[in-house]
Amino acid sequence: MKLYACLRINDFAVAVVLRKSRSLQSLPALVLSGVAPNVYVYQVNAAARTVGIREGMTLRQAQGRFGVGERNGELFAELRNEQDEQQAQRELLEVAQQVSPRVEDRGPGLLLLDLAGLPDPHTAGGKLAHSVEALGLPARVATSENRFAAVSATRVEAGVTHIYPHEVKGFLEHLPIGVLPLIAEEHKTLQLWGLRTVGGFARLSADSLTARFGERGAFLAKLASGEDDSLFEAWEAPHDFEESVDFDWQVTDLDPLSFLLAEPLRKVCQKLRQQGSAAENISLSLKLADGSRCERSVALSHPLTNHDVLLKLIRLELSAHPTGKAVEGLTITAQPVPRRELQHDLFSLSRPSPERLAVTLGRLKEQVGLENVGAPAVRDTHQPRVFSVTRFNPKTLKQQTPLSALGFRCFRPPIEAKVLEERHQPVHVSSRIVGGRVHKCAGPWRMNGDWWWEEGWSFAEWDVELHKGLYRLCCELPSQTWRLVGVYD
Amino acid sequence: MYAELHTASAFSFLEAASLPEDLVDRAQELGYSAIALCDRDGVYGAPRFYKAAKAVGLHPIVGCEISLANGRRLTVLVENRRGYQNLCRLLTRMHLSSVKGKGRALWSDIESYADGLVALIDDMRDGDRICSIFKSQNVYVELQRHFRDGQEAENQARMDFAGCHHLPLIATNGVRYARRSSRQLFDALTCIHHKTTLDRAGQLLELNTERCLKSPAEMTRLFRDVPEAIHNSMELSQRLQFTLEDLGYRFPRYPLPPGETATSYLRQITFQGARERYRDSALKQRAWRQIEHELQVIEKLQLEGYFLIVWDIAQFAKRSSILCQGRGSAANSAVCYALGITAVDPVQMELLFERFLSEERGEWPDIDMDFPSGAKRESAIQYVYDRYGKHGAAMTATVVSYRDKSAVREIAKTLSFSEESIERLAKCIHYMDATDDGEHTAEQIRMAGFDPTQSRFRHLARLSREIQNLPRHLSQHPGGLVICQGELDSVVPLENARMPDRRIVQWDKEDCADLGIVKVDLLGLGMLNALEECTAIVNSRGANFDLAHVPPNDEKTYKMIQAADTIGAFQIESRAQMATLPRMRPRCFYDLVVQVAIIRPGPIAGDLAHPFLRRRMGREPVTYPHPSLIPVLKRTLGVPLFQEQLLRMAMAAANFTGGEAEELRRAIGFKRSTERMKLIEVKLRKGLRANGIRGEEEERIVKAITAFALFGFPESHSASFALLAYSSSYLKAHYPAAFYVSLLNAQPMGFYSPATLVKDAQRHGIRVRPIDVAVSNHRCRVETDDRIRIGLNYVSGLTATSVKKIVEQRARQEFRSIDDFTRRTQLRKQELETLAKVGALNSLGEQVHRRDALWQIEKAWRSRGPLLESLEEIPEPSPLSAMTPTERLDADYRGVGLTTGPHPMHYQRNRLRQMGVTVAAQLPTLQNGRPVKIAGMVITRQRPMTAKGFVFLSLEDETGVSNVVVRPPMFQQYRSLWVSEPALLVNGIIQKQDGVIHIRADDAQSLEMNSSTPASHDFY
Repeated sequence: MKLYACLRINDFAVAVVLRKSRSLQSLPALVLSGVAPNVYVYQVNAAARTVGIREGMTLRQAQGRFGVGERNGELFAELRNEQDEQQAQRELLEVAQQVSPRVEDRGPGLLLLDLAGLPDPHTAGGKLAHSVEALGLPARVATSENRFAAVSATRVEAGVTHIYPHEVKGFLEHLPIGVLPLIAEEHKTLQLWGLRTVGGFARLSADSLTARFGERGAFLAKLASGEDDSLFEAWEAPHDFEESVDFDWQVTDLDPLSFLLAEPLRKVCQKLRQQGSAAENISLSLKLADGSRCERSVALSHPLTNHDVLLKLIRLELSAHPTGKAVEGLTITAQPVPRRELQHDLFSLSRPSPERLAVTLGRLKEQVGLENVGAPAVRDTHQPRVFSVTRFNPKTLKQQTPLSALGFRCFRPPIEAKVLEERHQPVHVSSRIVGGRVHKCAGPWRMNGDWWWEEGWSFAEWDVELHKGLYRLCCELPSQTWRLVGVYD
Repeated sequence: MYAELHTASAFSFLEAASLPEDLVDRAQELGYSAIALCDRDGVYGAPRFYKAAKAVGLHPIVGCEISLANGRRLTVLVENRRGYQNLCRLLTRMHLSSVKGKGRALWSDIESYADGLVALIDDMRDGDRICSIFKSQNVYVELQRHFRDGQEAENQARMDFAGCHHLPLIATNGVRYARRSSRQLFDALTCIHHKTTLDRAGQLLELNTERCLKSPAEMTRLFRDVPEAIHNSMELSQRLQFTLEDLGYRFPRYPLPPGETATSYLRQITFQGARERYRDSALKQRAWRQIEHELQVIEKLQLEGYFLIVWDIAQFAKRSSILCQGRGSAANSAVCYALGITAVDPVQMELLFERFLSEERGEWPDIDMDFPSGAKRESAIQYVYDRYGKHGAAMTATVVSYRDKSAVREIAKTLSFSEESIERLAKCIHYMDATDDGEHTAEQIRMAGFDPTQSRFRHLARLSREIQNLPRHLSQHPGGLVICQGELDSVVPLENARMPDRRIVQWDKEDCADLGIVKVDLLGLGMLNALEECTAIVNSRGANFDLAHVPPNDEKTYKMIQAADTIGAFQIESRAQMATLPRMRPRCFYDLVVQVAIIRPGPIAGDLAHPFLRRRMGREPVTYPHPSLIPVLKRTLGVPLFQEQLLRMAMAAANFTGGEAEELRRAIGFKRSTERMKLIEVKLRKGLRANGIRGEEEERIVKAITAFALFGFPESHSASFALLAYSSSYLKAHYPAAFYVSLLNAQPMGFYSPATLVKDAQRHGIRVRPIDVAVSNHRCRVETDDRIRIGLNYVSGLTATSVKKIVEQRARQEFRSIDDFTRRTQLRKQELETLAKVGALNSLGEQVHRRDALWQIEKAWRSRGPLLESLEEIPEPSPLSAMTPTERLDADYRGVGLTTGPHPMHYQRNRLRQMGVTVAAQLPTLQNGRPVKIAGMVITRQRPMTAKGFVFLSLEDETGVSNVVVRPPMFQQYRSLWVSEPALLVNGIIQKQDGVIHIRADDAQSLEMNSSTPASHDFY
């Protein structure tokens, strides 16, 4: 016997945001997406829809609509959180798999379950709804031997619905034509034909539809008449490259922790190799004695599966950023990418091995900080001495010819200075590294920009000759803060 | 002292941020005596720069930044007229040798045209080349200091170069904006130029705000180590004496028959024309005297050539059977009438020649000629090109500026607003005022659903206001042609227009007029197309109608006009005109002349319309400011309505000559100079006193003249329009089928949409037949005297090629079925669908309805493969049900933009009747002041500037049109309802006055229509 259940979370993005608190769930609510100034309503729930709030509005418009009726209470609005949505979808899949091993993922908040062969398939719908409600999400479940009918039922019916085989045709008859999986062109044609319901479409002969829509016509005709022979695409859980271990005692030192780390890490590396993958990133989640968790991450410049190297890198990371508390357990997760073995060029200089390079970079990060290791990239701006650090990739490095014979060393961070001025020119400088009378100066070099941001920038700079050398002096405007920003070699 | 010799204005198109006038204002504030404008690849801003500089006593130097083929630029300044002519020719060669905007100069071009130009070297790579082309005294090495790191090294290299070549240095600031505050706008323009956003523009943007106009003292301080660079700027500015005052423009000579002079030939053809015009007229003697007077003035001003050239164009039109009529002040001239340039008899109308031409004024006359829009006008333009050569004639330009929506769109893009946000903003921005303090713009942003206090919205509001009126690009004027004796490209640079075979000058028509360049306007007028086609249709159906001899004083025509049944009639069809016609009740041609003039912003704002109407209806006594003005104001019942009357009043009461009177009108009308106005007022008062008019009478006359000079409308212009208004009304009254067909074929034009014209036709007993591929032609046509057929060109999305295919295939053999039609015409699916939707395929089968057709074409358009291609499909019966009436209506409006079936309100009538709604046709039977409820589709919305915030809506139902007046508070309160709802239900009070009915709205609500509706014509 065939039987399917469809699970739908209506207005999924809103439901995910609202599941934080039951008290919120009755409120008119919306989620926004985009970045200012282009922020729009992405999705609304039924309560918000009833007061005239629609997708595509601005928040101000939505608030305006809500305020028109001088309604009591509040309109709940929050930015869309795609990570939470993915997490919620994962949870839904897990719950569904507890009901049936065969689940089809049909998109955000929509799952189809194959109930055939279950000991008590007719109660599965109720169980599913119950489990999903426990997650804080409002579930709509429909069961039927016809998948299309089940999926369509969740669009129009709340709660748990069961459609018996003899009811399928009658149920589909009055559904709006939009429930059919139509592409835009087909939908337009059916509208031109004046068809409003699935029943109206089902009355057209399959042959005449095939003559007009090809194979799609035959497929749609079958769906509309209650036959659904499309393929069930069962979802498979992605391979996990994760290992956890709980310790019997609290670990406070790095050496024993490294020892305990070695086994789960070895397992993860083995899994990676079995799947032909390598780790691009290793995440470490440490369970601390006070119950909190501490997250650490190691980004690799080259995908690796070498257990020893990875262990070294994690050690370096933990030694650079110690937890500060005793550790009771850990979870190691590798982010996989396909592994590629490269043939080295016989005629070019050999490069350092990826493993050694990774360890070296790891050591550097330990010494100077994570954010200070990588490849510097000049930003396209007039703002002086601004650069960004991009991921270090030796393949993209190019030999660049120096533009000037005169070297300039930047002080990072710039050194605060006190400056005396005469006729808008610096005449005396004092700072912690150098001071004294200005013998010669050139400038000011004026620069300002990013005026369209709240925080624009404006500087005036001078090259000043002091008794110890030639320095670049910068005055930040309008605060009139002086700094030495570098010295010429 | 210092002169700034390198300045760019917004006429460098996105490469600078200030208008020429702003640069001049700032230069004056800073105490400059000379300044040079060097826009990119043109002298686009030079006339405005010259005019502004002249007004404040600044020496305006002409210059240009020329784009070179090597990608760099060369800055040149004009030394003398020869240099200016060379610059114009160089720019013309550059522009005409490439597509619009892509012109680059070759060194060989510069070599040919270097004489009289001074070059500034700012790029050492071109230094040697420039030195070899220009004379050594005409080359300077340019230094600029923008407080930019590294710039000093460049300057040092330049100084070394100058030293090696013994060249003088010159300091400039490479000005891109007048004031520091405009730098942000300049950055925004840079983004528009490079099609990027401020967030992404990076180093394309300015480093700092130093490229503004700095004071001479600041520049002197900046270059204190090279004082000669400052000194040289002043010295050079004194050497560059050329200004646009000395253009050397000459109007072309007309090629005369042997033995004739321009004077003798003009006399000959004028009197020859006059003999025909006044063959049996009682006015012959007066006409002869007037023509003689006019010819004498023309001869004195040596304008014979101009009249001959305009006559030549009119003759070309006549030879080519193109309807053509002069309008504007030329209609005051009996010579123009005799030459066939204008159609109104100024002698009979007692029009004043001096309004057109006078000895004192010393300006070129302005003749505008109307041609049917489209190909016929184009042939007249090409005739002028052929006759005066490639470089002898060109169209004037139109400067397209950033306005309202375009300003918001462009600035929003630079600020990284999404397309969706931009669309939303553009919908809500109706107008922006550069002088607005920001509150109005903020309100409009709020209306679009955004928060105007957010940083980006504040920038958007401010920059959108600042960019207002800045030139965006140059386009061609619809009809202004300038012609020159010899080469026009030595007077102003020419460039290619986007249209093939069109060249434009770099100046707009006002610039040309200001610099004394004669232009002839060859304008396109949709009504002339309509009249021409209507005449042809009428005559093809056996009538003998001649537009030049429309029967005057036709009772049926005037009766129709008096009843305001004037939808489609030229100039008297608007809502405001229709609301005046029952009061005015025109009975003769002159009444129509007044009618055309009275509903204008001027007479309404000047409160002249109502006193005239009251006097005409006998509700107010006719009085005159002074007895001497009775002959002048008698025809308009003591109320001055026309500009010509102002002139005559000054002539009659203050002994002004015609020319002086015109000077008075211009002085007052354009407020050009308060000093000039004062002088002329003194003269006016002196003249009045000389005639014994003093005290109160004097004040009354001075006040009358000065007040209405701002508002008066030219009588001659009005008379030319009235002629077309009468002709079109006559055709509507006598040949309605042909009239409506010609109007529908001349669209877009006029005040109403085709949907409204069709409904008006139906109310006049014309049966309008829908589009049918079996019988419809490309354009609408008359089938019988009371039946017309809509043309295939009205089908939305049907290309001209497809229409041609349909008509050609039908001519070969009638279509047997939809399958046959689809196979033979090979139209796109979308075109077939639209034809089916609007019922145009219904006749291709037995009892085929629209959905049958849709069912069949869905199968027919699919390829059946080569083997079955030639077999005709046997139509299978469609299982689909026919469209409901409202579905048909919806399909009609979406697919054709009009319906030939019942009016959309017809389907609402039962419901509306229950709600107590009155139809438009019943309104005349109701009592004044009674509450009434009306409903209809909004066909026009108007918010005239003169109406103090009142809004006027025309609602159409199946019985006619009713007019709604919305008071300002009500409009503000329900703005989106009044502005955007396609159909309304209005509660209000009926207001009836002299046969004119308005509903004063007290309340309104949106009316659900169940179908789409045609777009309204909105004017606000």
